[in-house]
Amino acid sequence: MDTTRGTATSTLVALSLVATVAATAVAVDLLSRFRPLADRIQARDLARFVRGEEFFPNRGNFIEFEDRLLVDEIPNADYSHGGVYFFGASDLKWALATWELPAEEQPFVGNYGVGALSHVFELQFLRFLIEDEHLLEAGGDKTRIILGVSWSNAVSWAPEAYFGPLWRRHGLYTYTADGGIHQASQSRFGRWLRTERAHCSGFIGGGFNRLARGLMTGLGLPLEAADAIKDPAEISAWVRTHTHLPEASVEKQVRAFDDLLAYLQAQGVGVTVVFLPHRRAFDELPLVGVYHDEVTRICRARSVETVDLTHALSEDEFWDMGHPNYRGLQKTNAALMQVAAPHLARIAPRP
Amino acid sequence: MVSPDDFLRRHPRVLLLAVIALACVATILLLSTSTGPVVLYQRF
Repeated sequence: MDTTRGTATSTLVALSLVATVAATAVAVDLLSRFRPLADRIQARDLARFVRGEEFFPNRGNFIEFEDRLLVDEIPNADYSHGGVYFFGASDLKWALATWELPAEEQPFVGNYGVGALSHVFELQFLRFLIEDEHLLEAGGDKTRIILGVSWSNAVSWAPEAYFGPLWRRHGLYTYTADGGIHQASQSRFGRWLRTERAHCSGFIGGGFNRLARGLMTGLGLPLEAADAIKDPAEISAWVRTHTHLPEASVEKQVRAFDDLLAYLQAQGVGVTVVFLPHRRAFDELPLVGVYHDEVTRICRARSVETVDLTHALSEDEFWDMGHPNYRGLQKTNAALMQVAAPHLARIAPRP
Repeated sequence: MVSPDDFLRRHPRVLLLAVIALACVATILLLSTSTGPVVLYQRF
């Protein structure tokens, strides 16, 4: 009798444990995808940005902007109707406020910025989107590529510094420096499982991250040392000491930029190149000017339209050394969407 | 003085709830792990 009762209790405990694990996983997953909660979190993050309390990284319910892009946005993108897609490094991804676009335009605009993106990586990213994900499914005439460029694209980041591990992070993609980016080979169930796990880890990790950032800013501590630098002389000194831009790197990335334009033109897609805003202190670096001139020369040679926003922001419209604050974001977003407007008018249905 | 073992033997539901709570926390911690860095400030 006691043995039977003991077995029943053990079974109950075991089943309770299994049910708890399953219910917790399902609850976290549902919460991570619950739109009203995501909207509230975004509204809170934005309000803190507007008040100048914290930078807004536009990451949704993930830890980083790129997690949202790679796990959520790209796999769910519909390229069959065309669109305008922005590419660039962090200064591009944080120069757009796509959440402010009218709902009917949002499916036609992609903010495909990736941090620490050299032109070598940018070419790999575009080749993946065009050859594997069919970015140009609607045809080159219905798709516009806008390349946001700046000196940071001329830095030859090591593939394993950020770009490679980023793509491999959730097991959804593979990346090698020579082979580029591809979807990871796995069953549909395996892909679904990894996607949901990425949603869960992003939601929980993002929550911890927000808590830590809230505590730091609540104590009046800057999240990044450079955030506290406001004096022009100190900014110049920071730029001189922290910008590593060897001549060979600029030459390599300028060649990669030429290859990128050649590739896109061979695909029959229209390209616009936008020079993104930077602080005046970067003008003091000769190689920043060399990069600007070389990119301009290549665009002219290839008859590619350029828009120069290099000095579109005043010094007090930057949050840190390279990214706009809320006021600056309003300006960069308006300028970039103005570049996109004639193409959107052609592609997106009018309301 | 009642030992913890005696207490849990007399109140098996408390034991069960404690185990369930632990399982819940362990699941959340497992779900939160990823190969990505949980950095305070995204540098780029």
